[in-house]
Amino acid sequence: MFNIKTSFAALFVVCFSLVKAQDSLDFFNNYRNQYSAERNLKSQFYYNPASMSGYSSTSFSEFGIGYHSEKKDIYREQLGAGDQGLKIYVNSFQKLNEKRSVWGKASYESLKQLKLKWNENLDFDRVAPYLLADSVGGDMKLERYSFAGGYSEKFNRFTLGIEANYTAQLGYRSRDPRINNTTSDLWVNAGLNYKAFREYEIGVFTRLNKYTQNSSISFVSLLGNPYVYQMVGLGYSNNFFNGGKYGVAFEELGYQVGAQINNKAGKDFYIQAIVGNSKNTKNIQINNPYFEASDLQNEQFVFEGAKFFNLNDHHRFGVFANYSASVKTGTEYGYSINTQRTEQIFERKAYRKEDYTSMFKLMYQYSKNNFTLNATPFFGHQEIKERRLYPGSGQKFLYNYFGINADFQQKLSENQALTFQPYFTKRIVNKSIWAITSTSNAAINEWVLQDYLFQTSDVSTFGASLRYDIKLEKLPAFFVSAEYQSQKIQKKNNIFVGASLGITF
Amino acid sequence: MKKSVLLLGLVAAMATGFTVTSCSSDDDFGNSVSQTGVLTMNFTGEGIATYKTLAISIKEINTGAITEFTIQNTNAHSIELPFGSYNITVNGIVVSTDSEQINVGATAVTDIKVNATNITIPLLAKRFGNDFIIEEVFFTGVRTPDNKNYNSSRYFKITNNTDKVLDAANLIIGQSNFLTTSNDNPTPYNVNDYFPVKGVMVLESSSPKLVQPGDFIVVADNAINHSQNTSTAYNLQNADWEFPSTNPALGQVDNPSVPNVDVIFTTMGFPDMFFLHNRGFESYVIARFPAGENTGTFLQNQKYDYTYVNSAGNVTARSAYKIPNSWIVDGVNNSIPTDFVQTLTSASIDAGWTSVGSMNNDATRYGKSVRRKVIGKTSEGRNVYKDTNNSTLDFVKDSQPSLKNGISH
Repeated sequence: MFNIKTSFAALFVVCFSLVKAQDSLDFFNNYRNQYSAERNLKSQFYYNPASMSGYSSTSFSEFGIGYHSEKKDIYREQLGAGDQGLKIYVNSFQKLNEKRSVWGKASYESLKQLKLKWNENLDFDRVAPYLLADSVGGDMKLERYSFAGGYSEKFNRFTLGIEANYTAQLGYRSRDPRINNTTSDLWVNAGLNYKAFREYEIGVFTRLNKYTQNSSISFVSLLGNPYVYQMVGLGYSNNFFNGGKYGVAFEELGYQVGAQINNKAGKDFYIQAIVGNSKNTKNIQINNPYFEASDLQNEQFVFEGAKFFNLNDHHRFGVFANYSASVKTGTEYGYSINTQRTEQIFERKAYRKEDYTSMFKLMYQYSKNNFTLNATPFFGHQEIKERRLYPGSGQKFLYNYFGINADFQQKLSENQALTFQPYFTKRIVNKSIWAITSTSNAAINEWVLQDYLFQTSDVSTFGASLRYDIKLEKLPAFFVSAEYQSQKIQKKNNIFVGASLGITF
Repeated sequence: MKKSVLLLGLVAAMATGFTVTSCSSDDDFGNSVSQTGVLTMNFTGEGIATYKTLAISIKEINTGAITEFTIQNTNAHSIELPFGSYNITVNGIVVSTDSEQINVGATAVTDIKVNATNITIPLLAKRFGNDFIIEEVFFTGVRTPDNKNYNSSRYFKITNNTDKVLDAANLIIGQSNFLTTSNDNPTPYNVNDYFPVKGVMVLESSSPKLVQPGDFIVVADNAINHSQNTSTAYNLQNADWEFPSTNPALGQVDNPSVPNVDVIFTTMGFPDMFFLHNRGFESYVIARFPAGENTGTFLQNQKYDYTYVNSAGNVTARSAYKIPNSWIVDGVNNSIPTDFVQTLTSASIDAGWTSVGSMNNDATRYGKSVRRKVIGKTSEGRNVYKDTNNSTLDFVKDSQPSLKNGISH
């Protein structure tokens, strides 16, 4: 952790040293370039670090500190009732010259995740369903350190980009069940673009990932402790490993390879496809040795394309489409109790989760000298199928999504700006199938039913953020922002509030 | 032109991606799903003419899946099961060659990891000794009102379920050496011959202790009014025997007016310490010394030396004692639904298991016991208890202790 903190400080110093004082006359134009809604829309385009050379024509940095609190009245128990905590972050993009760009970010978060149950692990989406779980759970304290840096350079027709991203987390609870999770997540990305014709570029990129999560759980109460489950999905657990074996290690290796075509650094159009594969292996400790309990393979495919048009200097339109598929297959290992040494007797695929999501967005942007209005209505469709064998059990959900994101940036004066970002999203359950086989544990059955009912609920989310920026002479620009979100599910409300302040330079 | 070529190239690349994805999203789980094998069970037994009914329960240890079915008038059955490690329990009725109906039981284990697995399961006639039965074991103990440990007040309740007067003097109570929740595959070990023990007590008495039909005796861990120490405990001062330990950590007090049992063997570190597993991982038996046997001959002849492979892969040697099955008059296996692995008695003594609590370390288990089901009353109004040598059926789990309000005959 010391190294991460050191790196965090170093990046902050580097950002400052690279900064050239921004001309206050250009404050608003710089501001709307830095917080471009269009750039946010195509964030996956920048998975290719070679494409980061066109991220911005100017340099910018931001340092901020924020606090948020999310309290949910209704939630999936494995994900908890929200979280609250502090985040300190710095990020920077520096255009060193026409050919070279460098970027980086660092952050530290101190959070409290609320009322987790049936899940004692971090990174639920990555390790589920093979979670360490118990019926008690509780709040979990979480510290997260993240650090990333990248560099791109143009060589004649080629642009090369490299990037590394590291996140470490420590999640713990200081009362029973005393869970201690540490995670480490390293991404190394590289991309190469080739300017084939005019400003048309073709690019290829790869993203390599190594992830680990080590978990241990202990109890000090003399009053007994809850039973510890090694879950395998849909409420089922591994009877061989359940009980008093409290050490778990997840290890994942993965890759993604992608190809892109773009014109004018993605400002005219881009299309890209990404194929990925990863394998997350779970080992459980029995006394000293670790035994392999399961492998979770994740095959991914993503296609994304966007096209932008300028009607004139003021009106800009965009069409955006994204399709992503993720197929997770769990291979489980069985052991014999009838042999003197613990002996593996079977290996079989017994879990599968498929997630297919299509998203279609239209963007309209209206810009004048003193304001920018951006509105992005969207429509999406998602299909999730989750099944397991021994015994056969499953569930399926079909969702439709629609909503709109708006972004209004108003110049108040030469050195002041105000941004208002309202948004609305609706999730409609099109169809759901319940094919869950009950377990022998009533408490687990109740949780699985509650989880299913949550997933078969329509969700309406609306929220807004308001931000004020002021640039004082010979000082960096200061900002303060506030955000509120309300989510309505089954006639209950989940509330998110957040506030942050910082500087841009 | 070049733009078209580039677009075509990317479309081709994406089509490859789609193909990869669509191939992997078939509805099945791949070839490994066919990992099943056929288990053929052949049941045998001496002097059996007809295998009338056999209720078979097969539990896979990894998934916890239980397959239960009954076969009639056959001694062989085949069933297709997924690969796994299985624990088989059989309870049933056979007709002997002398046309007598006999209750039988059996337990067996097997791994299914090939296409065909054959197993021969010897059925054992259940032993009904026309003797005492274990009516109740209160092994969980109680917590104090402020949720502190209270290490005493547990008991065995042993009942005369026959229609004749029985003598309880010098009855043996044995505590299993192994646990029902794990299996280290010790060598040698033959559950059908003997019951390995880590604690043995003898209800020592120089004079007969006669127990009327339907009446009972209580052996308490100690015979005092525990409710004076903590309001949650029971008054056991009228117990027939007690087993207080001199272990100062337990803080037990000897009641001089109640005879102490003779703890003839224990592995607990104190020579008189007989301490029940409060999560219920153990089995208990009651036995009688056959003619010519006594404490001395037991300690001399029934030593049990065994080895097992420990978790580090090394062979560990241990020494305990064993009670021959022929001495045993009744037994009960206790376990936890989430952790059960094996029964520790021969199926002829107890082919099932009972429990308190639904999971390991269940905080709600305190103040609950396992008790036999009452199936009727005698003409004198005494309870008649269920005794099929299958404690899964014979006992009430999570029961209210019968001595909660003191000992009353």
